[in-house]
Amino acid sequence: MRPVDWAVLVLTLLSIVGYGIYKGRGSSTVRSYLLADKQMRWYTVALSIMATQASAITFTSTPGQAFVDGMRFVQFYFGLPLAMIILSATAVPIFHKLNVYTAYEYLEYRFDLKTRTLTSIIFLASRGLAAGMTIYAPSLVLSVMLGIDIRITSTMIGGAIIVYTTTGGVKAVNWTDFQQMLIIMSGMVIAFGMTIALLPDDISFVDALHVAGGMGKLNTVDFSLDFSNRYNFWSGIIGGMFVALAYFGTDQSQVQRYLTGKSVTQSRLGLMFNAVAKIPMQFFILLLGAMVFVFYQFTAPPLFFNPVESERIKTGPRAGTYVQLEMEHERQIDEKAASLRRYLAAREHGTPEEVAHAKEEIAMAQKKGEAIRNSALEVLKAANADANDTNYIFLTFVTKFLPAGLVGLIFACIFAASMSSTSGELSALATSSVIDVYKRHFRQEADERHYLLVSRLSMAGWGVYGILFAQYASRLGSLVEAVNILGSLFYGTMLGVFLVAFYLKRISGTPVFWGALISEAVVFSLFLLEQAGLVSVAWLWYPVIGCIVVITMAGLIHGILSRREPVRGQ
Amino acid sequence: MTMLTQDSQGNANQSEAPPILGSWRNLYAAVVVLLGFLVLLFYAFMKIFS
Repeated sequence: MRPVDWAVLVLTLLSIVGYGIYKGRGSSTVRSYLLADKQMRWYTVALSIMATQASAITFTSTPGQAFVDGMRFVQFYFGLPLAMIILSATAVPIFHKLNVYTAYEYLEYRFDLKTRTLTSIIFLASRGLAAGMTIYAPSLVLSVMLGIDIRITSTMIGGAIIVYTTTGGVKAVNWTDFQQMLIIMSGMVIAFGMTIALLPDDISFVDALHVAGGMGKLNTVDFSLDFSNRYNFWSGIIGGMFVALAYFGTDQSQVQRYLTGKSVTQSRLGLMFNAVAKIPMQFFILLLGAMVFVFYQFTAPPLFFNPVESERIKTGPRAGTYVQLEMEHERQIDEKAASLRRYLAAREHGTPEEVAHAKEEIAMAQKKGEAIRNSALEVLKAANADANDTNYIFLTFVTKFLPAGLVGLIFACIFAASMSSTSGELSALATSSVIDVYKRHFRQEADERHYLLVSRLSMAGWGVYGILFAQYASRLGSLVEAVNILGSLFYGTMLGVFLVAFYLKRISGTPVFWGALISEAVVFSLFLLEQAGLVSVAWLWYPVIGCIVVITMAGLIHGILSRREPVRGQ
Repeated sequence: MTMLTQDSQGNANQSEAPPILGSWRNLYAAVVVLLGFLVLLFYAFMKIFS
């Protein structure tokens, strides 16, 4: 990065912290600190929801995903608008009516204290680990791309968040989310424009779309009913709806965003905006990745996008093989560019046979390219290197080809995205720690100042924990992946508990509590059996299984208990 | 639960009609129609450029 890029990055970060402190001033009561006095308008709620959901990895990895796998990932979001409608019609009026601080507080009104405590502890355990990862993952990518120590990047992200969340509370979180989302979207629109401008002079935007489409990167909709295919229309509309219901309906980091709405209407409008804007936004980011892919069809990309791993392999014992593959890769890019130009010319003036022949040529060139890259990945794996470079594709393009100033802006966008999702998580963790655990179980009667102080300390404490996790996560090795899997072990149970609460009104607290415990036992058993190689269930299915077990077991236990009660009465 | 009791007094929890389309039911229907339109648009986009 050049000095002007550093200036843009530092100024943007300072403006976020300054804006957060300014907007969060006057948070002198617990209600103001944790619920922003319930005075937020729909547009702040809407952008805060979107900013919390969009982590830094969304913006580093999504364009890379389109580069590698095409745009089919957009289908994952097809169920989101349906989930937004369900939550807007059911959860929002209930939460507002009861004036709760957390989603789990509602469970005490609906069921009992033990069910509330169990779900809030599940949330704190799973989201607590995820919050560490939310700082760790972008800190690692940024440290590699900027060439600075991960301790500096994680402290920059975490430190800035601690300053404004601790002073301004949720008001600061919501307003900075709003500002961060505007920065992120502006950066992405400018990056998209620059990518199109950087295409060779003889390649127009429409040509670029034809190249991307011809090479299978615009695969936005797949109606085939194939359960082994992770992203198709059906898995998106059904599975995506389940995931969105669990995330937006039971995760305090999202519930807290719409609880700050001035009224039911303002909260509902915030969710409806997300329902309308999320899919086009994801489509746009994926299209940016597809355009970066087209750009790299005419300009040789690095054989492997992680510069640190690439450099390491070139100085190790496998350097000869790797450099040989790099040379083959560069020659192959020139051949592919020539066949792509022939394809575009055939499309313009040629016969259908000439178009088909040119397409075959491209397919062959693509296969050859993939074979070279796969050989390179084998070399990397043999050297115990991290062979996944999806997160580095877009940022490599940014640092190598975008002009001074804009590089700083894009890195500022990544920092902003990381801060927006992490600040939402920290405020949710602090709120649940204070309201569901401390206030409910340890100190029920204390004055406002005491709870405000505990809330600030909790916010700062979770922030420091996030930074420390990020700094030591690399030493955990494969445990980092386990942390991600760990989250999926809890989501299904939480969704099941809330679905019973909303829709099965006759079922009381005890059956749900035991249903939740049985569900966790089943999911953990499956996980352990999977680890031992005795069963084969992909961890993405754990939330669905957990949810079904809670509902079924709660129903069964309710049936047994209600049959016993009349007997006792006799 | 003192804080909660105080909070539950006087909060605007009634829902008014949305600013567009007259009722929430109409707005939800419009969101579903928009979702269908986007899916068809993406499908057409994929077919045109492949």
